[in-house]
Amino acid sequence: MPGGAQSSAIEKLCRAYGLMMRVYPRSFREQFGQEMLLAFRSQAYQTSMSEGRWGLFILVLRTSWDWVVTLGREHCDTLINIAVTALRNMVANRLLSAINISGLAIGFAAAILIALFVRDEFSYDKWIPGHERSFAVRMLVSGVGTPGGWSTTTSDLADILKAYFPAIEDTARLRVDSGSLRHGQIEANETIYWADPDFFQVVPLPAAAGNLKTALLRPDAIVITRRIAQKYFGRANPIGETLVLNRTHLMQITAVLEDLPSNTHLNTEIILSNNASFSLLAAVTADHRGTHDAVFNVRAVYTYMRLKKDASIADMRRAIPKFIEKQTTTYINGQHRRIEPVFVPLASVHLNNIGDSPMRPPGDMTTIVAMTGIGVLIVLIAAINFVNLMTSGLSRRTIEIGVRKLSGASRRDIAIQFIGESLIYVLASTILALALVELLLPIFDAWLNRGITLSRLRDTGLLVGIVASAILTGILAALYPGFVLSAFRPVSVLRRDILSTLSVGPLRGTLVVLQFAVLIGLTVATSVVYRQSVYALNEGVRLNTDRVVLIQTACRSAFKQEVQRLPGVTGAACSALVPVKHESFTNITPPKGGAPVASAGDQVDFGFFELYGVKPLAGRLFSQSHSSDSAANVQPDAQPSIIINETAVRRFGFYSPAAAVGRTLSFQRFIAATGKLTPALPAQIIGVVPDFTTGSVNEPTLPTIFDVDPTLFTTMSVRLKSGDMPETLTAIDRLWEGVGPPRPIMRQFFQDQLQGVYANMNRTIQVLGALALVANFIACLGLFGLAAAITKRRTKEIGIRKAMGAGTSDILYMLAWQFSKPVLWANVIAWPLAWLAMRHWLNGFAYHVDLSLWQFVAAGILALTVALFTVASQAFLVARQRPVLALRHESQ
Amino acid sequence: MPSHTPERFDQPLSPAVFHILLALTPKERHGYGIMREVEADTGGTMKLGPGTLYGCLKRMLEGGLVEESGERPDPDLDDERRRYYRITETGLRAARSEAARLASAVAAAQAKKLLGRGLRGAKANG
Repeated sequence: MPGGAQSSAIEKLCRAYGLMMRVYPRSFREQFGQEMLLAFRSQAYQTSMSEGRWGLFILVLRTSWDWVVTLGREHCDTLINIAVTALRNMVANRLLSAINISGLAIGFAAAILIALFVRDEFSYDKWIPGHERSFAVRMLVSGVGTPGGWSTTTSDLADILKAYFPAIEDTARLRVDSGSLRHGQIEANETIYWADPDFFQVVPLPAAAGNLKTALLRPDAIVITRRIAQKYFGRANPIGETLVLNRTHLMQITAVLEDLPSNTHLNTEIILSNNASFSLLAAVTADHRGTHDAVFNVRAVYTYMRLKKDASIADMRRAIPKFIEKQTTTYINGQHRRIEPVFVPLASVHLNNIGDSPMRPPGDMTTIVAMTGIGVLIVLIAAINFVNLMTSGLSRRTIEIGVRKLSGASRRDIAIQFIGESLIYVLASTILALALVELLLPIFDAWLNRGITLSRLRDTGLLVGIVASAILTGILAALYPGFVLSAFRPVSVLRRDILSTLSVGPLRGTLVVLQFAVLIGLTVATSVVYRQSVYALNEGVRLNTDRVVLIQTACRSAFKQEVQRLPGVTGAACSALVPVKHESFTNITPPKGGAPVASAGDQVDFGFFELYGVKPLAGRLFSQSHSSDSAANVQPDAQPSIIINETAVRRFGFYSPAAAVGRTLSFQRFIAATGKLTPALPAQIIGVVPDFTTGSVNEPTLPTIFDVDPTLFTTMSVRLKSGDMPETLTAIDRLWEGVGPPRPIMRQFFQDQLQGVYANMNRTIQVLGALALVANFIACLGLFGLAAAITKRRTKEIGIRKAMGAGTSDILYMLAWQFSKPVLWANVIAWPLAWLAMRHWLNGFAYHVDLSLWQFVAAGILALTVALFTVASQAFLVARQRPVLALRHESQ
Repeated sequence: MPSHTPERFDQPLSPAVFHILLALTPKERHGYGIMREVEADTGGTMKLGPGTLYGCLKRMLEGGLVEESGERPDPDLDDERRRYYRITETGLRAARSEAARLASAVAAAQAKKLLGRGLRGAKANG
């Protein structure tokens, strides 16, 4: 025997080996644990005596390696056993297994697609190298003036900021414009941006060719993306080539940008140098007059800034109150107006939209939250199905469990068996879901018009999320059968007493109620959003927009008269105002005094209101027979007549529309020719028109003043006759080429423009509708499986009922009632929750539809109908069976 | 799943399983006894760890190659926690089949002069 110290060391080694053995599967440990320890101890003593300490050391190394190798093998054996049992069960219950796996897979696939979309929303502009130091500057106006946020700023703000904050390395501005570009025979209207020469230092977009640092120094420089280069030149690198701007200016390509991906707030595909003498940005910069209180859109620019290395944006934000006080607070008629710059990190611009003129439609946090919530709900519905179907199959497995328990399986073994089986189902569903995602992603991507690809699945976070939620679903689904069923004594299990005590019914009932509550809630939400969108596109506009085409033109040529003469045209009128897209604001002091009221000032042509079917509430509309109706006929120190809307009547304190007619309002007016604002001059109100949407239904209508000032017109509205519209449009295009300005025509149907304004809402409807359909399908799938399992179990009972004289209709009624009850209860949960959620959503709109009871009732009836149709086939099959066959049926 | 079912004995046995069967061929043994016998049989080239031994025994029990023996050769001198294992008829057939397979492999190797004198002759020629 070894000595005392050696012996103590061996006992310690044995204790350590005993601990290591705890990692082996329980069944293996229980069967051989003691013997293994004995064998190890004997080996250790023998080795110690024959080979000493060194031999003992080698034995420890050898045994550790043996432990590592055999550990994997024994666990694999356990897993294989679980998998084999699970596969046997799957094959034995093919229908339920298929329903279970496909339901969960569809749920997972929908959730993965939603996760990809959400991930894409949060990835905006993070691809720009060094984006962390670049910021977009937005503007919040408060006090007097047009209140709210602006995505553009005054043209001088960039310089003011740079002079005030030493932390700013550089600032740069962009001014949006539209113009035609031509190369050879290829000509098109494009959205172009005039940029300060150091724009690319501030927003470091990746270059495909050329040097972006110097690209905008030349006055005739133009920088384009690869896509634009391909469009005009048929190749990606046309540096040195030229493009003709507005059929006048020869611009030379100095650099080519990489194509902008879909996840950017920028749409700067064509950038021109501000050093050009004809640059709109230069023109705006040269004219600082009134930039703090005038018509903002005339001078609005997009401003960006880049911080110095190690500079702190938090410090800058802390200094803003002082900055505002010193630099951007002005006083109008004794009232202060405050302009607050807001620094938005480039990567946050998309989801933190401030103002109403972003370059591209911004993201909407509410939509993201709603979609994430719906994704969770869909997975929840699928998981509920999964639990339901797993528990519905329990009764068939009681004998198997009883036998296993009698053979010595512990509660833990049974629980592990259930969890393992559940995870195998979940694994199969996840693989199927990924295949579905691969299949559906191109369609989903095309629908959203994004660049979402499956490669993003390689992202660790998303992968971990998918796997974690799959495992969680599997474990949760197995918890109840795993732990409850495994707790019963083997004798009870074998005598099937368990069936009377195993109360899966209430759990399953609750889960079905929850599932249908989600479904009804989604149906209500979809119908409310749909009604609101219909309202926004039709009644919300409160204008007759049928067959109206909008053409971008200043209306200074003979084009309008020629268009009016076309046989397919019923009328044409010009305006600075395009309904649902107005950009011109002013401040008006009410006649009875008080703070100036932020108002919209819009210029319309004679016949504009008539064209859109607007009738005066009081007074008259503009008429050419009254010379004072047009700004063209009044002196610069006078105002033409004005028409106001209903909101203006209320806000300016007039008793009624009729009371407003003949009264005057004093305000400043913008004169295009001088680029100046007039002093506040009185203008006579000649009529009042009803409110119509000048913004979108999201915002309340502003008090609006209309006058006739042809120098500010930007758009011509043309109403077409119902027949021969394509021919009329062709005729309009021909006229444009003949008498219109020297650029391609830009025209769009009013309804198309509206669709653009409400694109986000439309997308929400489509997403909600599609997700409601998916949820519906999964719920039906689950209900079908549940009906199949339940009717199968009740076959014998039904046989007895039929033998006792019950008819097919009685049985059908009984089964229908069983499946109707949870749907009816679901309404009780869903209605108040859906009502609260949708009321909150609608309150985000200034003008909206009301929630009506019929939507809730219809959703309930729809869910009930779907449920009954789903279970009908199963119920009918069982109800029609001959009693003798049913009685022969072995329900277990 | 048991990896050694009787139907699969046309497949080669793993060296560990074959040597365990060999160790049990003359008489039943407990685990440590098997370990020592295997080590002795192989001249110390094969030393089974407890994990490998009992993993094999588990699968051999499932496959019916060995069984627990109720008898204890000398209960007074032995730890009662030790279990004894003995080879079954199936195990014997499997061991014979494996031995025959190995013998034919050795014969083939000898025919190709890979063993004994043949190898030395090859070296001398080289």
